[in-house]
Order: sequence, then C-alpha cells, then structure tokens
Amino acid sequence: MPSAQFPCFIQAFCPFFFRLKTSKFEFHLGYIPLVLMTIGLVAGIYVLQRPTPPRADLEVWTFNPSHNEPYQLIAPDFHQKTGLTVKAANSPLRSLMRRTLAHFMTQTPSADVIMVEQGYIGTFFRGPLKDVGFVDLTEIVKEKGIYQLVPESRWSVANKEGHLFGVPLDVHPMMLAYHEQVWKEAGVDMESIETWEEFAEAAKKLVAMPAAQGRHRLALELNNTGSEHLEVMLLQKDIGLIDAALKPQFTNPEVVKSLAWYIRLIAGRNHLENPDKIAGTLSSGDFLSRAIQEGLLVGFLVADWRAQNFQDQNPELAGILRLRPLPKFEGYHRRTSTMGGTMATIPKTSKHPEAALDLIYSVYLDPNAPDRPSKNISFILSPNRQKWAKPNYHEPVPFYGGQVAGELFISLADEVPKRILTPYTPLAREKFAEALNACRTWYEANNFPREGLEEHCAKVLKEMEQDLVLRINRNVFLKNNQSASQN
Amino acid sequence: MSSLKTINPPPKTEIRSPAGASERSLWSFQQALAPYVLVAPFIILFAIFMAYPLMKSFWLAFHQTNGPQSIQYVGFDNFTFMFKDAYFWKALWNTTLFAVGNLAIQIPISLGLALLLNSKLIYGRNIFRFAFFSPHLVGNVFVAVMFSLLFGLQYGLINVGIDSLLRLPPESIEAFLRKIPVVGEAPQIRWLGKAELAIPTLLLIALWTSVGFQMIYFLAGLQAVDKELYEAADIDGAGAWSKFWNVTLPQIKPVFVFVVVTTTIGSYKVFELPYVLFQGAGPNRSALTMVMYLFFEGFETGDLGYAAAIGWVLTFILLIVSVIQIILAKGGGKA
Amino acid sequence: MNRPLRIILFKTLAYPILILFAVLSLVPFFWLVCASLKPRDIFTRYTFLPPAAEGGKLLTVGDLRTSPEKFVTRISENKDPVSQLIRQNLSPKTEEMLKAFVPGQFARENLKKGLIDDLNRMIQEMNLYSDPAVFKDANLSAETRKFVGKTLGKEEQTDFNRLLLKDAFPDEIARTEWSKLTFDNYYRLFTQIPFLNYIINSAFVTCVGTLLTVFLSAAGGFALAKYQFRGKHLVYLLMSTTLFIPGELLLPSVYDLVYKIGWINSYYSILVPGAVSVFGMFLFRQAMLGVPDDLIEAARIDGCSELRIFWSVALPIVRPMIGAFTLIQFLGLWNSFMWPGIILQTQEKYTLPIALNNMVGLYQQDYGLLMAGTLMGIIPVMLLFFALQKEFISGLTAGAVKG
Repeated sequence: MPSAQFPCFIQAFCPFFFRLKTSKFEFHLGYIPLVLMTIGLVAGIYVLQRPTPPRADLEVWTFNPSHNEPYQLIAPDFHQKTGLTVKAANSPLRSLMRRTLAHFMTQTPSADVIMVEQGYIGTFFRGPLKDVGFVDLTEIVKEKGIYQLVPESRWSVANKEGHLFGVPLDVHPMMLAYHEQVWKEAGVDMESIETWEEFAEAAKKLVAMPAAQGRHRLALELNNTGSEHLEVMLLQKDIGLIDAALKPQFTNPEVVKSLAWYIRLIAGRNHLENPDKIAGTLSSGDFLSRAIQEGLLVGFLVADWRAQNFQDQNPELAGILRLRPLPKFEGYHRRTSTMGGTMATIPKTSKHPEAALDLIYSVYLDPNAPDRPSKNISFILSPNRQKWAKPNYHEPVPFYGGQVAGELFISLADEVPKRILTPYTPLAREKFAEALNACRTWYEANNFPREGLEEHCAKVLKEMEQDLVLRINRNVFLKNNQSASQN
Repeated sequence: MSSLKTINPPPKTEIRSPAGASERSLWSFQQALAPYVLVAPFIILFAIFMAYPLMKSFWLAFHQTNGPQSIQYVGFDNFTFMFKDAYFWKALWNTTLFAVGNLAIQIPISLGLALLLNSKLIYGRNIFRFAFFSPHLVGNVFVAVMFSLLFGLQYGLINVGIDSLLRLPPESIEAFLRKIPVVGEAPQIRWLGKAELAIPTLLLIALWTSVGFQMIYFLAGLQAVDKELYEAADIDGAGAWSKFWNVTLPQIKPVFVFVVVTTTIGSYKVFELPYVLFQGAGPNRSALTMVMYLFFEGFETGDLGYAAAIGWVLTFILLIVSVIQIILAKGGGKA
Repeated sequence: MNRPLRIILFKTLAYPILILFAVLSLVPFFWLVCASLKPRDIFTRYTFLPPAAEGGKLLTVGDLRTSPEKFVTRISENKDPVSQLIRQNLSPKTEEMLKAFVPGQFARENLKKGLIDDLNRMIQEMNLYSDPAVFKDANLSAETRKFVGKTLGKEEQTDFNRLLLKDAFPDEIARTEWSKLTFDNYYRLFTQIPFLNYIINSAFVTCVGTLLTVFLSAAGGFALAKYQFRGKHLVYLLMSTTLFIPGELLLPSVYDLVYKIGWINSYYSILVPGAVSVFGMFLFRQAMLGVPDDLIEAARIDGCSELRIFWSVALPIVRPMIGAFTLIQFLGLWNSFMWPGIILQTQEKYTLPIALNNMVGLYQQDYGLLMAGTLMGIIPVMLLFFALQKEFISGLTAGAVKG
C-alpha cells in the first residue's frame, strides 16, 4: 500500500490505476464494473464524437410514407431552384404530434414543415394565441394568393380565433361506393336513391337477400364502435361536434335524432335480431376484399383517398364497385361530406419560414409541378382548384366501371362542408363515441325497443356534454376568447 | 437505529500520520470532512431535484399551464375539478382494480411456487428459479411489445393456441370449450380491442412478469425460517396446513408485508405496460391508469398544473395504502 | 399416510405444477426467438419454427391454415377446372371425408391432412399443366410464367406444379415457398433503422448511469454506516421523505426545472437527477454495517485516507451488494421509458425502449422486425443477469428477510 505522500483526494479517486496489474488483469471490485466502464467509455466517446447528422435547410416531418414521398421527389428540383436542401423524415403520428407539442412547450427548434393530421390540430390550440407554435399564415397566404386557390371550406380546420396556422392539403369530398351487381340483384336502382331515409328502406331488401354459408349481408359499412361515420353524416347537416364558439352540440335535437337513427341501423348481430339493421362493420378475421367479392358488404362511405386506396390496393375488385354522391338527409341539400385531412404547418422556430411556404406550395399547390408517377389513375383532389383541369381527373377509371371518378369528386368539391376543429374536438369525438357505444349497448340489451331510444340518447349525450363543458370552461387560456368568431 | 451502536468514535491521536503539524491538521480535517463529502452528492441532488421540485409541484398544483411558459393561478380548481373528472375516476378505478387483481392473483401463486421450490425433494431448483424469474428481467416496454404480438388477433400465439385447442381434441372437449362464453363461436379473441378485456389482459401480463420476482422473496423468507420451529410443530403433531398457518406464515411475515407493499405501489405506478401495449389508453380508455393520465395531461396536453395535482393525489393514495398495510401487519403480529 | 407415500404424492403434484409454470414463463421467449428468425412472409403460418424443408413434402397442414374451410368448400362446390382437376385426383379416402363435410363448419384435421397429402402427391407425380386450358383463368404470376412452354426436369416440374396451385388458390394456399431460418429480420433491423445507434445510446446511458449511481449510493451508505457526524439524522429524514415520494409526482416540476437549466434533449437530465439512489443508500448502509471496524481502524493506522478506506477496504467487502445493485440499476436504466421519452426530442438520441415504441407505430404488421428488436433489448440484461445471478438474488432479498 503506497504511503500517504500524495494528496489524499487524488489517491482516493485514482486507486484504479494502482490496482491494475500489468501481468494479470484484475480489478478489486470484480470484472462487471470494469466491463460496464469500458462499454460506457466506448459508447460515450461515440455518443459525444458522433457527427450530428447535417441538418437540412428545410426539415420536413411527416407521419405517412405517402406524404413523405412527394417531398423526397421534389427535393432535388427545389435545391436547384432555391439553393436550400430539403429532408423529409417519417415517424408515427401519435409520437410525432407529442414531440411537436413538446418542442413548442419548450420553444426548442423542431422542423421547418410539419404535417398535422386534422384530428390533432386542436391540441396545439389549447393555450393562448401567443403559445401556438406555428407561424401565423393569415396575411401571407392571402398576399400570395394561396388562400383563393384552396376551397374556402377547407381553411376552417387550421383556424384559431381567425388566424390561419396551416395550409390544407386536400379537399376530400365523399361519395358512396357500392357493389353494383348485388344491389341490382336486390332490385334496387342505386342511382335513383335520393335520401338516406330511402337508402335505409331499400337496403332492407338487400339485407334480406340470402348470402353464402348462411351469412348476413351488410348494405353499408358503418363503424359499430367509433363515431367517424356518424360525424360524416352530421356534417351533411352542417353540424360539428363543437361549434366555433366552443359550444358542444351534443344536445342539439338534430344530433340526438341522428344518433338514434344511426344506432337503429347498426345495432344487433343481424337483421333477424334487429329488423332495422342494414349496416355495421365486418367481424374480425374477415378480409374486406373477400367480403366485398362475396357480396357480404356492399356499400362504403368513401372520401377520395379511400376510393383511390381501393383502386391501388385491391386490384381484384376491379369493375365491382361504382361511385355515386351520398344520399341527402331530408330537409338538407348536401350530397357530400368530408373525412380525414392533413395540413402543412410551419413552426415559429423555422429559420426559413418563407422558403418553407414555397416548398409546401410547390409540393401541393403549384399547377405546373410534374405529376407523381403512378401506375393507376390518380384522382385524389388537389387542394388547388386550378389543378382540377388536369387530364387525370377527366379519365374514365376502369376500376369503377369506367366512371370518371375525378369529375364526380370535383362536382362535389364545392359542396364539401366546413369543418371546425377546436382544442376540444378530439375529446368531443371520444365522448361522442362513448355515447354511441353506451346507447348501442342499451338498445341491444333492451331487445331493440321501438320507443325510448331517442330519450336514452338524449340523456347519455347530455351527460357527455356536461363533462365536456366542464373541461372547456376550466380552460383559463380560452375564457376570454370564447366569443371570438372563427372566420 | 441499530447502526448507532456499531459506530466507533472517530479516531483520535494514535494514528501514525505523516510528520509535520500542518499536515496533521490537514489529515484530521479530511477525516472530519469525509462523511460530508460522501453524503454531499445525495444532499446536493436532493436539494435540486427533490426539494425544489417538490415545492414547485406543490405550487404547480394550484396553477393551470400550457407548457412551462404560460402559467395562470387557478386556486383549488385542479382539485375540485378532479372530483368531477370522469376520466380521473376511471383511471383511479382501473389502477385500483389492477392493484387488487395483482395482489389476489400473484401472491397466492408466487407463494405456492416458493413453497414447492423450498422443498429439498425437488431437483433442479435453480433451473426452475431461473425460469420463473427470467420474465422479470425484461423491461416493461419490451414486455408490452412482445405481448402486443402474443395477443395479436389472428396470428398471436395465444389466439392460435386457443384456436388449436378448439380444433384438435375430440368432439366432446370441443363442445365443452365452446360453452365457455369468452371462447364462444369465434376463436379469435380481441384481447387488445375490447374494453372489458383490457384489465384482465394486463393482469395476465403482470402475472407473467412478476410472479418469479415475488417468488424469489418468498423463497428467501422461507429459507430463513428456523427449522426447529417445524420440528417443534411435528412433535405437537401439527398437520401440514396447521404448520403452514401457524409456523410458516408468521415467520415470513416481514417478507409478506414487503411483497404486498411493493406490489401495491408498483401496480399503482403502472404506466409503460398499458401505454405501449395499447399505444395509448386502450379502447374506451379502459386501460387508462393514474400515471398515464398524469402523463397525458402533463405532456400530451401541456397542463403541468393538473398533472402535478394528480401526482399529489397519487402520492396521498400510496401513503395511505402503505400505512394501512404496515399497520395491519404490525397489529397482526402482536395479536 | 406414511412418509414415502407422502413424498411420492408431493412429487407427482409438485413437478407438473412447476413444469407448467416454467413452460408458461419460457414459452413467450421461445416464440420471440422463433418469430425473429422466421422470414417475413411465412410469419403467420407456423406457430413456432417453420418445418425444415424435408424432401418431398411440399405443402404442410400449416399451409392451409389461413382458410382451410374455404379451400374445402371451394374444392367441393366449385365447377372451375382447377377444382375439378383436384377432385378427380383425390384419393378415395379423402373423397369420403369430403362427402361427410358440411359447408360452413370447421374442417376436421384429418380431412385437411388427407387433402394435403393428395395435393402433395399431385404436385410431385403429375404434370398439372398438361392441359393449359385448366389454368387459363388462374392469372399466372410472372414467376410461374417463366416455366410455361419449356421442357422441364423432374424437380422443375414439381416447382412448377407448386406455383401453379398457388396461383390457382391465391387466398387458400397462401404461399408455398418456404424458407429456412433467416437472419433477414436482424439484417433489416440494422440497415433499415439506425438500430445500432439506439443500442449505443442505451448502452451509454445505462453503463454510465449505473456506475455513477452505484458509486455515489455506496459512498452515501458508507458514510451512514461507519461515521458519526452532525446532521446524520437529517440525512435519514431526507432519505425517508424521498422514499415516500413517487417519482411521478415530480415529473412536471422536474421537467420545468430541466427546461430552465437547458437540459431538454440532453443525457444530463437522465443521468444527473437519478445519480444517487436512496434505495441504494439504504441497501449499502445495511451491507456496510458488516464491514469490520477493526479493519477500518487498521487501515487508518496505516495512513489511509478516508476515501481510500471506502474505496479499497469497504467496497471490496460489499462486493455482493455491488453486484446486486448494479443489476437493479442496470435493469431500471436500460428499461426506462417515460422520463427519457419526455426529455429526448431528436431521433438520433433515442434510447432503445423509445425507439422500439416508435417502431410499433411504424412497422405494425412487421412482426419479425419487432420481435428481433425486442430480443435485442432483452439480451444484454440477460447476459448481465447470468454474470451476477448469485450476488443479485442474495443482495436483493437481504433487506426484506430481516424486515
């Protein structure tokens, strides 16, 4: 043992070196701490020395490969034109949104363009206006003429208290896709159906038709547990779950009526149990494509993206399906609705916000931009109405029996309802789905009573609304702005 | 504290310290300073990452925030709202159900396995011990990912297993199995898609991960039981059950209480398992736990104030639960 | 009951129970390993490993697993040429079973087996394409088309037959190529995803954090066990407070603090707040009580500084506890998810659990990849456990047994 000639502290902290024998590698605390130390050192050197991946001038965050791809494609051109590099990274939606919010809360630099799904935009609007981490685009989009390019109704989604925080990237009108052959067999002329009420009546004929293996048919795909399809229908009546003044619409008599109507269509296992049942979702384990081919599920509410998906992913269904506008509701004129949607936003921390807007413009709005190469006819509507003149929107689509899908969607584009998304819309959707489930369960448990469903729905919805109101009212950051209109 | 007795008084003069008065004073100085130096990291970190945040979180609990920048005083609103907050109650109910379920399922099984393994008659005890314990080494995130695939609807091992169980055996067994309502007509059970199945699924997974862990404790407790007590009981002619009840249980009580308390606290803090398994709160928020709600409110919504308030309630619940369990254990011991 | 009988009874009861639980504990691991070694496209068809390619058997029962009922129904009902071809060539036994089959019900296992045997026989012995009209509507795949119109040897003929059947029954006979075990999943894991990067991050955080915590906690424990100093009771009080405060309570406020220090997205905020573990201090205090005072005194007389005594005298004596606590700490850090997930914002800094959680969102259908990733997260802990097993279990239970 060396005598204490050295300052004691140094000695205490470096005994490691005293104990290392050159002949035999030995450490008095065992080899595990040594191994850990070595790994820690090596990894530490790597972590500290690792070159930070070069940050592109414009970083794009997407949550979906199909959004990511166009940025990748345009990057070289954009670099040539402006001298700025573009890099697009993809990550799962939920974690992308949480990460974005975390960046905003801590005001740390995130990306330059972030794709935000409509369901999540509200979560960024919860605080005061100054806390919104996105660049306010209200002025600049009007100045640059972008505002006029995109159908007016779409801008409502990116709107907080009259300020626009994102550029909508789609129109997404909806139509009804149906299995032509099976409906014909049932003796229903789909083209002549005007209203949902007529549809429900006609569908009973179809549902009553026997199917293979004693299975039961569904005339329309409506979610048994989620509320998205019902929301689509409510939008046909111009009702959102929460209005612009942050007032939930759950107790609106029209909503109560619609919910009860919807539940009658979907409750129960089959039409023998519930004579009104015409719609529902496939049971687990059934393959959608096969169910369509066998005529078990013969109607769908499709936005343009879903219609496109059918074409691209299920070529075996070619010629089976047809498109037509949605039936109206009695007393309302709207023959379409909307579902899904994405907007491009620019965080305030971006160093090149103007260039970011240019990038968004050239990817989604520039009428002169080259088309994405695709093997199928692409008819998802561009947000820029000038692009609707392009030939791909006016070609007959063999998948839909030669219908000109693009033109059909274009004809409905201006009818697309305005959708208002508030900080509490995600929660309202959850509550609404909860109400739907509760009422459906009640209806099924009580053996599908003729009377009382509306009353029960009203009761459940009222409870849900109270909860929602409680949450909205306690938000101190929105209190002063509740009356502010949303353009 | 027993520690006080064992401590020697600090050494005085008899040390052969280096020559020289100044060095000698330096020497005694380092001796006096040593304990403080050794404890200093704890004290410093406590002050920065415990004391200050504790006060801050008390302060936060009376505020509403939107991230760390926008903060507004709201008085007791966070707490009054919590009483009306259906999701909070749901989280509390789910978590309590999970904790009680864990205790009810895991403790008997792990104690039973420990009793079996404690017997000298069993060969390969180390192998069994390792087999039971190994799941505990897997982190909760990894467990959740693994089980999200194991519970997968069509191709998950569990549904495939049930499926083949339904198909392989002769008619009578099949008919019997079909009568079990969960199995029903469709062999594909939506473990992760049904609200009613969320907590049972979690309980199954928790059973897998923690049975071995608890068993190790019970085993250690059993091995420490004085053999003479059993011999005395044998002389009294006590049966196996009576020996277990009158000798084993009182002897392993400290371990028992320890396991119960840690299991309860661990269950109340569950987060990763349901969060990764359901990629969120599960269908109809049926897997929402208290910590998950805290996480959602604080870091997915941005209301750190409400999150802090939930944290305080959680702390309060944990305190009460552990105090009750410890008092019960102590009281039982005296009786 | 006499004693030997009781022992036998005990053993016959105990072993099955123990073995059952041991199997239940280990089967998920086994499945994990198997799944990570299976090629992507056959993941769904074999519960564990795919059967090795024995000569001759070209289809197995597993091949019909996707929808045996549909296949049986189609063969027995349809009038299309392929179905007819198959029906004509069925063995009498299978035909009999087929007649007894009621559509809409589950197919019995022996019927499936019979069908598979017949199909295998047909594939091997016949030239299914002898009448091209039969496969006219089967939408031959490019792969199959390559064989058309060529003179085929025996083996090629078999391959061709197999592909033909697959084309004719795209849904029913999902795929009939098989593969042996593959490391493809691991290959993709390290090439498609910066997985090595995540492993290194995790290794860094875990190793450094573990060593730091073990050292500092042992130091604290040593001071508490072997010194009498002012404020010791205060330290105990603070430690007990800490034990009763769940970390979750402090999440929002520590986050706020870390934000103000500027440690967001930095490993400091993972390493520093957890650098001293109160639990560890209690464990080490308990263990250090066993260090003989005489030894310490002797070292002092030899002129050892106090820190030197701690390092060279006390620590080697509590080596089992170091082993146990190292493993505890390693487990905790390697698996920690919530706090790093909140703090780390840029992808290249992610640790393994965060990365894996993201992979679940991105590669939902890619079981093999996820399984391989999970396995990579389990192996290091397992290795460490094997190295420290003995110390771990004795150290872990030391405190609890004494109460």
